[in-house]
Amino acid sequence: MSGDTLSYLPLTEPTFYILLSLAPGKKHGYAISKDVKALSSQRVNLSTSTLYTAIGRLLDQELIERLFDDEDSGPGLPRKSYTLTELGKRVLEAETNRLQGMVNEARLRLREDEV
Amino acid sequence: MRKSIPSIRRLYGLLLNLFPRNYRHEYGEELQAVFALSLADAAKFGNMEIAKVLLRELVSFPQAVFFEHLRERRKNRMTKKIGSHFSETIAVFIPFLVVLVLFFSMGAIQYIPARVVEIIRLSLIGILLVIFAVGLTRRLPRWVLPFIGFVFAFANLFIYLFIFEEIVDPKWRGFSFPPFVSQFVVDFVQTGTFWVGIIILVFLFVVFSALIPVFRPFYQRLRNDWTLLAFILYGITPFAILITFDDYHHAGPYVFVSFLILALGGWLYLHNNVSWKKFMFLFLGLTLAMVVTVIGAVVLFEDSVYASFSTWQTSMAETITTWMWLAVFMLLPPLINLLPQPHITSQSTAPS
Repeated sequence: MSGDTLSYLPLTEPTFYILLSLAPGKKHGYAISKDVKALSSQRVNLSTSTLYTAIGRLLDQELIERLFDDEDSGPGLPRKSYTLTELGKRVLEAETNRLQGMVNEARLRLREDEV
Repeated sequence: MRKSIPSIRRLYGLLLNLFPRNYRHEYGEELQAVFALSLADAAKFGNMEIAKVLLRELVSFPQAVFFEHLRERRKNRMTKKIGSHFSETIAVFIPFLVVLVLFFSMGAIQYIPARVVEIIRLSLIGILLVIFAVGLTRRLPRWVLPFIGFVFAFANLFIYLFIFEEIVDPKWRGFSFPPFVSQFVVDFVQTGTFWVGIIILVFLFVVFSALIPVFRPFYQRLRNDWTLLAFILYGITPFAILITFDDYHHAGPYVFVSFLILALGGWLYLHNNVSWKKFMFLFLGLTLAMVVTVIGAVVLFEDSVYASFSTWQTSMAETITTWMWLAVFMLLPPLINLLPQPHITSQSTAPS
């Protein structure tokens, strides 16, 4: 875990899912919202305003960047999409490692209890 | 309810006026588009789903409006931060200013009564101590960092005088370089013996900041922003300029221009956020200030005390090697940063 990512951790659950949603590639706001819902098994259901508050914050933190699509995005779809920055990728990876560490440790302890 | 969707969308468009103007300008269109798509999707599953979307929006909307206004205020404060940047810049250069005053007061010592000189010196020491104490109590903010470098330079002088000259040097007195080694390399090594204490001091400083709990946040800052260490080392330059012009007459204008360049480099450092740019401004500041110092040392050589037993070429070589050592010190933080960072694995994060 590199030093520059430490200060961003831990991520909130919606932030983690938003970054995770953008991991495969760029997405529009609505696609992010739907993906977050799917990734969290319907648990994290972001309202439009909450989604854009989070997006604004992530843009400020330079974890994501906005792209202006040249081609028509489709009827009703905004022409702006979002993608992870290099820093965003590193932070997402660092958070995943952190969560993985916690899960590993928890499993180890639970197994110890069973023994 | 489906029939009222266009009216709901219009109402939502009106409510967006509650957000700050910049936010509306940046995200308004997207917010409306995404809201419209959410409603259209919900409409496929019936009125209940539309009601859920509206309720979710209704609950989160005031919070989002409040948060965005708060963020807007914070952004405005940051862009209007010229005042605080200005005070930070002033605070950074107080130590440099002190050196400047010290330098000129030393040059004028023969015209000032001894008692007044003593008072000036004590006042200068007092100012230095006050700045240092304020910096410590505020847990090493950025403006105190070059000052720490300046203190290191003084401490290094004592290391050189009491450790190197008294203990190390007598053991090596018989040592001479082989004839094939160029004079410049000899000069470089000899100048290095004067400056080498800086490495020890910086190392100790980093270790102590990591070990002493109250300064650990500073250590974390240092890990996150390696340019801070370069900024500390930048503070050595005024001292290097001061000792270069020691025993030179009429060096004031050269010292002044060198300090001005250093101040400009520091100012550009404080007003930039990109690490490599910040470092480049410091490195350029150091280099240009030392170029002026080299020129000054050559131009004023004939009128200096060194003219009786040395040559201007030697004087120039010594000043260039001093720059080279300072450049080497400045290059250490980015090089250290290139080393692989320790990875925190699940084992190391787990309690033992």
